[in-house]
Amino acid sequence: MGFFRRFVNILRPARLDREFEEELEFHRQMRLRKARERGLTEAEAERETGRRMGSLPLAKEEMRDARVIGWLDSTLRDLRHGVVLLRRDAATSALCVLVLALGIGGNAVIFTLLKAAYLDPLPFRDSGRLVAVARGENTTSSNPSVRESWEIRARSRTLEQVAFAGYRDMQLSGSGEPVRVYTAHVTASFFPVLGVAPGKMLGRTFLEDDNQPGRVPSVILSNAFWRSQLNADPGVTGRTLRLDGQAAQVVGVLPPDFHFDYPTLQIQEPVDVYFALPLGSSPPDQWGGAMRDVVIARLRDGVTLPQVETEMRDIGAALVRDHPEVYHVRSQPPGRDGSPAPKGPPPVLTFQALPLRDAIVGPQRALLGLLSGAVIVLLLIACANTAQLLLARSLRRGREVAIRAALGASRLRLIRQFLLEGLVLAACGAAAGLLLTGWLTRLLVALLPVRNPLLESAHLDVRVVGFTCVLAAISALIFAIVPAIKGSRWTPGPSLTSPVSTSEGSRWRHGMIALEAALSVFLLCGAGLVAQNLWTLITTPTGFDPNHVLAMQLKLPSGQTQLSNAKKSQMFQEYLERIAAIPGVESAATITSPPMHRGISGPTEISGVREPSGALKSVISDIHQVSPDYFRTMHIPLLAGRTFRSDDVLGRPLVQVVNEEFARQFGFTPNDAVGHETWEPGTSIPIVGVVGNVRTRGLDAAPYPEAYLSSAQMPAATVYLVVRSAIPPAQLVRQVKTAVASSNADQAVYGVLTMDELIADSVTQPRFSAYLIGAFALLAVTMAAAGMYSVISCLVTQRTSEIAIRMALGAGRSDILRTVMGATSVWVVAGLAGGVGLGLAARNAVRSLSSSVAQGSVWMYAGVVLFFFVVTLVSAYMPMRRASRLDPAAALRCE
Amino acid sequence: MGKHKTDQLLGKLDLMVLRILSCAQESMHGYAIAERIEQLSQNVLQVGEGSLYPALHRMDEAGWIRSEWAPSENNRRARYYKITPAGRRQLADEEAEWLRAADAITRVLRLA
Repeated sequence: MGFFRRFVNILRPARLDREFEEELEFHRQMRLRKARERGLTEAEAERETGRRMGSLPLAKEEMRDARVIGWLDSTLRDLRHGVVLLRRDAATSALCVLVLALGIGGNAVIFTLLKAAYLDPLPFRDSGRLVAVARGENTTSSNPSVRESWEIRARSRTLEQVAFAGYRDMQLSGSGEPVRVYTAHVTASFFPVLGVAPGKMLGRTFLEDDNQPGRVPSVILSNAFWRSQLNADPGVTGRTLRLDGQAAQVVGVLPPDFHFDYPTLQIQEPVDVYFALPLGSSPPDQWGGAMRDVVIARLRDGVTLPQVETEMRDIGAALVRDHPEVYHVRSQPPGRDGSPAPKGPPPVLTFQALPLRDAIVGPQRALLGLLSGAVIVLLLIACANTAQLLLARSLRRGREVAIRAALGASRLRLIRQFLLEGLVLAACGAAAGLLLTGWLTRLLVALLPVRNPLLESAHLDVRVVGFTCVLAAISALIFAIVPAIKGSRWTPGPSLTSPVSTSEGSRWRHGMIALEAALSVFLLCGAGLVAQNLWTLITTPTGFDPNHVLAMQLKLPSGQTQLSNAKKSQMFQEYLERIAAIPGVESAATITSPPMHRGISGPTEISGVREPSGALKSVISDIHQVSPDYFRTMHIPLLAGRTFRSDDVLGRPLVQVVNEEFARQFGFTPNDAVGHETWEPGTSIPIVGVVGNVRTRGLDAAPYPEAYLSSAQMPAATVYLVVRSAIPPAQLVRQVKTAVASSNADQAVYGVLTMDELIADSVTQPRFSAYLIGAFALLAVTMAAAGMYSVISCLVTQRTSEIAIRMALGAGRSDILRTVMGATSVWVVAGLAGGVGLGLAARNAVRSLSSSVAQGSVWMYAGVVLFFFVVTLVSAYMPMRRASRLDPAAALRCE
Repeated sequence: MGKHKTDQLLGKLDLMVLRILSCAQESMHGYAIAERIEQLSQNVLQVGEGSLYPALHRMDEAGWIRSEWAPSENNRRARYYKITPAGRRQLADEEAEWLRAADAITRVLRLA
């Protein structure tokens, strides 16, 4: 109670003052009356009263002290004093606030992202008990195959509402140009497990009945799709859509806030349409293949995660035991993501139940870690910079401090004064940083190389503000403590008489400079590493000529996927002929997976090529189906033999073309490989040609063994079309679409990219790392440069008279420079060395966080050192020039 | 010399104020308290306002006395002070301590 009253009293000094005055005035009046009663004259009474009452302001001050919380009251007064001082030196203050806003704001942005990733609840009901099931076989991991998902659902006792979803492209036709839609095929439990309540949506979610095979498929539309394609028709339920040429009945529309499209779960795009997955009573036969399911489930009540993990391991082991024909290596089905051929020990299949949040965030943990590290270093640099600016200022204030101390301010009180000023600066910086946080967060999320709806939902809230306040307080402590301790030290005589203490605190200031130099060089080393990585990647020969090549996707409408191979290959042949007929098109071809995208892979053996043990040598290779003109279109060189000919068609014996790496892994030169046959039970395919290596798996992966089959002999329903032409892309796309439509009106053409863009897309992540860390490093270097400039120019000012005397005594320009720069350059070099050491020490951490393949080269580090050296010279130039051009006579007269 | 002595005694201002308030029938304002001290000490102790009022406010905050504004004899509002039970306890403690100390000093002076 008393505390509260004393607190309130701080806030109403005027009222308190009035009361004191009134009380004292009453006392005075009483004394006057008494004096008059004793017979004194008015003047004598006044005089006597004045004498007896003593100093009223002092009394009032003491009464005030009794009535308020002393430390808080003086704190507020110091704060007011601090603000006045900060405003007096507006330029330095503004610089500090700017630097701190960058440092603190950067951390606030990253905290906002981390909060979205780890703290904010997932937008699903009781999301803490949701798990996603991942699959690991030997050393590779992926999502479970269709059959495996089915088995998990059938066997698990610890999970309930096990839902799985397969994602694929489909085409919506029936009105105008065919549209490609991204679809998910889900079990009935999919929406309930994620907590989509039928009450909040149009129509209903799926029922077990919808999953029965043989019915007209039921579909549920995403809200966005419903709005964009169906004009938000409220009566849409019951309507029939034609998807891939087949009828599907709409049973519901999802609420607008429902999203389940996390690329980290291998769901690449927002889903347009959800299909009820037909589940027969007998298990599906898709053990492998490219089709993978996202499996999510809810822990049963009372079940803990370790129990689920144990059960998942057991299910994996049981599957291997029950189905040796599937998991045994020889009959490994294609599409196992190119796992290295397991030799000897039996295959290990494990399923892993990950909390849904971990599954969604996990793959981006490294990125978030990299960002956090970068902003923390940035904040440290900002603190060091502010510290040395404040140190310079606190030393200039030697006389003020000495006067306050002489008037009775304690050392602690002086230190507090400096800390409070720091706090004011930090608060301003934090406020400015917070203003930018919302905007910067959105910008950063938009620039992130990996889409993640969870991060897209990042927003400012009270926790971010709280974090920012705490961070501001901590940084104020960090950057203000040294100036406070140094600035509050005074010696009675000199502090009052000499204008500026000379060398006082310069060791600290140099220490700050060294720290700033070290940290910014550290960031520069990191930036250099990722930049070198990016450079290595983009200068890697791709193995083909990407200029003037356009890639787009073609997928046969579903009604036509069941067509005979002859018909399929004839349709594609027709498209290609019509495209090739466009004037200006050099050539056109198709392939099942374009460069930078891995294809379907599987083990291959060549007849007669054996391991030392006598077993057939097995190599995992990627298999592509290409049209005969593919190599010519992509300018992939033929090294030996021939490419596909027009007579390699259906009905004729299969032939294949392999790449150089394929031949090499079997121990052949390109010429030797031609004529060998790959060995399959029942069929063998002769190698007719060897072509150059192409970076199919991305620029960061070494060339991989690849085999090409002719799509004329083995057609596929989904292909990439590559067209080489000098026609501008936009115009070419229009012409290609017209050409395809003239052949088949139901054929959608989508996913158009130039080959350059395709390559650029494959290095999005390294480019992002390089740009981001580069930006941080440049900011850091700018701050360090500003710091060095201020230290050196301050030193020059402090030592003006010394320099003048030396000059008057005949010192040359170089002597002067040595005098001024000597100490500073030692510290800067020490910082530089420390930074490079730090950069080398943290090299591996940076490499793994940025998934960088490049080793930092000596030249890169030399470049960093040189760059920083140049920056130092530039920032030292102005003050040095001032020192060396000093007019001794004028300078000494000023003193 | 004399002034120095009275300063020492004024160090026990709290004690005297509490004592006076504890004997008073009703609450008193600052001037009355000052006058009473001077009167009882036969003008040896002249209480300056610079000490009395801060002491009163301190004791008010400490809860030993309570104050309220009320009309006074010269048509002005005055602040009246009244001792509280906590103040009486404090008075008893301080009084006992003072008497013991005074007693001890007296004995030393007599016997030395």
